[in-house]
Amino acid sequence: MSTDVWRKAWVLVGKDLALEWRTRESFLVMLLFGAIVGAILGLAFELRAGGAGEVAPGALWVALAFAGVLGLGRSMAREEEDGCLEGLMLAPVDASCVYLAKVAANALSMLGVGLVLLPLFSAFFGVNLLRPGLLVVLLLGAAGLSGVGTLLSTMVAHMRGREALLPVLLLPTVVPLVIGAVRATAGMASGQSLSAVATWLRLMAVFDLVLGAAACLLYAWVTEG
Amino acid sequence: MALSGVDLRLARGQVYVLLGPNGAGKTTLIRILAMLEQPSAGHVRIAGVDARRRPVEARRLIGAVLHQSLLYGDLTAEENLLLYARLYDLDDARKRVREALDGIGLGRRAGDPVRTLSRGMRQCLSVARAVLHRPHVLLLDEPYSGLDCRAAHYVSRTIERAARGGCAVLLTTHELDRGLRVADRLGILSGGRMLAEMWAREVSPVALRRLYAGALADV
Repeated sequence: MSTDVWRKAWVLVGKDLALEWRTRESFLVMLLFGAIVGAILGLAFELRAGGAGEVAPGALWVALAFAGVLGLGRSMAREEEDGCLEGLMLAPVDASCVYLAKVAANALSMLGVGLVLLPLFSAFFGVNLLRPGLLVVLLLGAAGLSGVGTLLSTMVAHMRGREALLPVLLLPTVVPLVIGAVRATAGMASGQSLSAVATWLRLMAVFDLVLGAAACLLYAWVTEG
Repeated sequence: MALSGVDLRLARGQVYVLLGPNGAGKTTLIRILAMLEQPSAGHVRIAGVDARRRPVEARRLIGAVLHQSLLYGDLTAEENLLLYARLYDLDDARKRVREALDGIGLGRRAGDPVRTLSRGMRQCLSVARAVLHRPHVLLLDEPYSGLDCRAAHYVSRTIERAARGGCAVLLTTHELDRGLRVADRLGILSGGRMLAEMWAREVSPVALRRLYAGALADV
């Protein structure tokens, strides 16, 4: 991929981050939703006494996946307002460049939400999720959710009932990623090192690369018909 | 089929006005020329560049104003133009953006979010965005709809300047008088077919109205 693609992708990431910084609507909604899910699950299971370590990683990734759906939907809605995505398609910019920029911006938002949710979920479930290695898991998870979600949110952008369609399409697709993320998070929460959970991290990395590459190729077809 | 047998050639510096009622296929034609839709048959060439084979290169030669503003409401007028200036790799991006904003009378509103601008201001900004990179072909889909006199004046002035600079302009409208005022050449599109083409200098407003009514009645 040429330096021109990366340079323009960086311009577009800057645009997305500027929009998010100005409104903060995606980030705050995702964060609030994730925190509410954590609080409800924490209360529902009342697992502070035992077994919390097994439930907390699953709860965290359920919250992140659903919060991610909200963020992806909002991000695409912003591009659809006043035909902004068409404006980008009119510019001399490769569709893969637009895709990479959207993935990066969405992943950064999810990563930010994940970083705030870690201490919250630690408190809700009484388990230590504040481990540096979890940053790698969050990064791989956010990249995978964003990579697939960006393509799917663009595909359903013009469809009726897109708010319902996006989670219906996205969540089953990211099951392998979520399984890997939950297992890696659980391992690290119980004190294991990064190398001990390397199998799950590799699964996540392969998911990100394969589906990300496929989504990148398909993006031109989705946006340009 | 939205369009059938349409063969359109635009010359450098020519303003071609495409007239037609709602549903004639004007917007479809503009979207195909802007490469936002793929035709089921036929091809588009922009200054010799095949749009289907070399889309990124062809896009660099096109500027388009569509029904929507294509501008981010939460970015300022200046930020919107700067974004496009960078995507088009323009030198002196800030200077050109400033000049463009001053040219449409929005220099003092450069720092305001686009969503706070009036419809007319947004349309002017949209036209400024379309000509920022000095395209070879300028496509305008109903650029005058909903504009006051001042905004319409800015749009007309920008079209004239672009044409004087050698840009081929294709403009769609269903306002016959305005179309005749800005056109070098006119076409009447209805039912997806080009019903008539003429030079603006060879037709009077009355004759154009008669031609237009006659062409539509024959469909």
